[in-house]
Formats: sequence, C-alpha cells, structure tokens
Amino acid sequence: MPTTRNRRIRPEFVIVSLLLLIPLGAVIYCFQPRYATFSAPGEILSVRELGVNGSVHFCYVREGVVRNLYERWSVRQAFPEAVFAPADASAPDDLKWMEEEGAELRDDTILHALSVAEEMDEETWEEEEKANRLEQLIEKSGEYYGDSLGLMLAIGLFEESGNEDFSDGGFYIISGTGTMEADHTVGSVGAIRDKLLTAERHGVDYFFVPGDRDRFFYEGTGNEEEALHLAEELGLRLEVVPVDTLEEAINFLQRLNE
Amino acid sequence: MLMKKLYSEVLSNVFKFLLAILVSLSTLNLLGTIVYSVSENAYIDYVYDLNAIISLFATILYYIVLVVYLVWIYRVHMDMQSLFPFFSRSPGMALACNMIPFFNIYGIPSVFIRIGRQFDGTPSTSRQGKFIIGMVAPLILLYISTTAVNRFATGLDTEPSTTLLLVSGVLTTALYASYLTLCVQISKALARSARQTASPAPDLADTASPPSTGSPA
Repeated sequence: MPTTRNRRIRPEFVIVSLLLLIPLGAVIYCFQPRYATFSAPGEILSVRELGVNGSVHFCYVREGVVRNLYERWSVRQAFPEAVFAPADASAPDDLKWMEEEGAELRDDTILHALSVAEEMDEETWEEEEKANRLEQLIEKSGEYYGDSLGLMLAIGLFEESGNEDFSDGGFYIISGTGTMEADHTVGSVGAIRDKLLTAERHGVDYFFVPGDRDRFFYEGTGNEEEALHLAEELGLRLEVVPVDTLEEAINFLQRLNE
Repeated sequence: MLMKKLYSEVLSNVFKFLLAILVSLSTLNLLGTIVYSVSENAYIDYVYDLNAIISLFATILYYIVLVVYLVWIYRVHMDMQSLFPFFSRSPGMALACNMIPFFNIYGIPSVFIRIGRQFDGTPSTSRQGKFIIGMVAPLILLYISTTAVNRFATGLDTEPSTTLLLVSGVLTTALYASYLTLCVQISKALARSARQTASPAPDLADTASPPSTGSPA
C-alpha cells in the first residue's frame, strides 16, 4: 500500500541556517591569512625605569605582525595611528628572529653605553661593579628589544656619575633615539616617524637623533634627514637635535643648562 | 487538538535557536576569559585563536539576534492582540518601548510586565505569567549593568582588567540566558493560549494547524 510521508523542512531551520551564514561568511573572510607588519607610536620612559639615576628618557615604539583582517582591526582599535605594510607568511618568524637579534643588539649597546660613560667619568669603575651594573641593566630592559636606547642610556649614566640633572629639575623633557657605539658615535636606528610622534605626544622638548647625514650608507634617507623633514612636515613642537657622538649630545645639554 | 495559528510561532523558534547559540558562544568566551585570568601564556598558546573566532561570530550574531528580537516582539504583540482582544499595547508601541534610548529602561520591563500580567490572569498560563513577571527585575538590572560595564570597558585607555572582563562575560551570558528563558516562556504561554482560544468548529478548522506543526511546548 503506497504511503505518503510528509518530509517538509521546517522553515525555522532554513531561516536559522541562512542567518548563520552571515557570521560564518564574515569569520571566513576575516580569518583568511593576510599577513602585515605594523608599527605604531609607543611610550617614552625615564632611564630611572632601568635603574639609572638620570633625568632623560628613551623612546620605544610598538611593532608587530598581524595574520588576518581581525587582528588588523584589533590592532587598529588599540593603536589608531598604527601603520601597516603587507607581508608574507614568513613575517611572524621574521619578527621572532628580529626580536632575538634585537635582544643581542640591545645588550651590545648597553655594554657600549656603560663603557663610554666610564671613559667620560673621571673615576675608574670597579670591574665587578661594572659587571653587576651591566647585568642589572640587561635584566631591567628585558622587555624591550633593539639597540636604540643606547644614546639615552649613556646620557643617563653620565648624569648619574657626574651627579647632573640635564632636565633642570624636570623643566625640560629630554628624549631621543640612537645606538651607542664603542667609539662614542651615535648609530642609526629605525621607526623614526613613530618615535617622533611618540615624543611629541608626550610633550618632549628636545629629541636627539643620530646625526648620520654623512654616514648613512643604507637605502633611503638617513635618520637626521628624515627626522628634520618629518618635524617640518608634521609641524612638531619639539626640537630635533641631530648628534654625531655622545660628546655632542652632552655639550648641547650642558649649554642648555647654562 | 486544534490550535489558532500564531504570527510569532516560526520566529519564536528562530529566536530561540539563535539565542541558544549566542548563550553557548558567550559561555565559551567566558571560559576563555577564565583561562586568560589563570594563565595569560596558556590563553595565547591554546585559546586565543578560537576565542577570536568565537568573539567575531558572536558579535555579528548579536546584531542579527537584535533584529530578530525586534521582529519577534512585534509579532508576539500581534498574537497578544489577536488572542486577547483587550490587550492594550500595540505592536508598534512595543517596538518603541524597546528601541527608544533611555525610554527603554522603562519600556523593556513594561513590555514584559504587561505580557506577564495578561498570561497570569489566565489559569492555563498563570505559571508562565508569574515567571515572566518575576524575570523582569533581573532582566532590566542585567541590561543596565551589562551596558554600563561594557561601555566602561571599551572606553578605557588601557587594557581592561581581568576582573572587569570576567564581570562583563558573566553579565553578558546571564543577559542572553534571561532573554532565552523569557522567549521560551512567552512562546509556551502563547501556544497554550492559542490552543484554548481555538474553536473546534469545522469552519475554523481549515485555518488551524495540525498538532505536529504546532507549538514546541
């Protein structure tokens, strides 16, 4: 005997399935791999954070990798001024490598800053004291990578050893970027734009950059040229101070306090 | 058994399904936040990716549920007026009560209190009516506190604290669960009322649905 079976699909199942396709589609679209690197303004921190009795500040920026549109959106929410650049799937590994490399460079620049500050001090430092200080500075700067804090650390150590206060009791906010080399020169660094924006946002009065006009042998513009150009283009209030060596920076600060 | 066809029947089921999914996603998100509060490293290593997917899915689903809710409450009021000729709130007014900012602090409880009282006055739906009225105070408190906590958390310059994230997660899940409970009770009460109002007269039987396609109650 033939039977008729009612196999009607309930309309609510159809509606729910169709509605769920909307978030599902959005998830698939937003989580597709689309790698990009980003950099955004960060913070300025007193060298006191590293245990140095100085008045100057070093500057750090935020850098990282996003893997998809969702992460990109999250970063933009957190740091609206973030600038993104397309990258490939190797970007996370590259960043990891850069962090490891940056940690080694940071340790080198800290060692140079210590040696240079010792050379400029009239008294000789004990080897053990110097080794302990190096260990302490490396430990306290552990969450930062890269060697751009070298110059400001050296200035801070100089203030500490000479019992100086270049900020004139906090009247000036002094910050900067640049590596510290063993021969007292200030080496070139990256992310000048974000560092300048960070400094401007934090009310910095004087911002040191490497005076590398005659010794920038890489592709693109050097730090000095870029910083001066950006300061003018962005109408920054702070004064960009290009310095070739630590001595130049110290001389500038001593003149400032006269 | 004969039953009067309800305007909100299909939409009640749709709303229930979507809300049940939203409650589940919100609970999973809350579990993710608990892992984050216990160990940030474990969260980043094992939970972050899944939690990000759930968050995005739940956020979009929330807006869909919001629209479905408005259509559902409109249709529920169409049913209320059709089942209870003296039910005074119009579907349009019910929508306005839910949608107008600040006024909805009074409007949302008012909508559910009227529905609850109507059901409470009928013996067969009295239990659902009392339950709906009892849910109104927790619902509006959850609504206000969830909105306040979430606005505070998103307005912060810094990362919200773990406690704030946990509080927000618990409140959000509880709010969705409250709406789900209300939807279940209202659709149950509507189905019972529809069965009661339905007439066994042959001329009305043509417009009635068979039990298999009736109320989910």
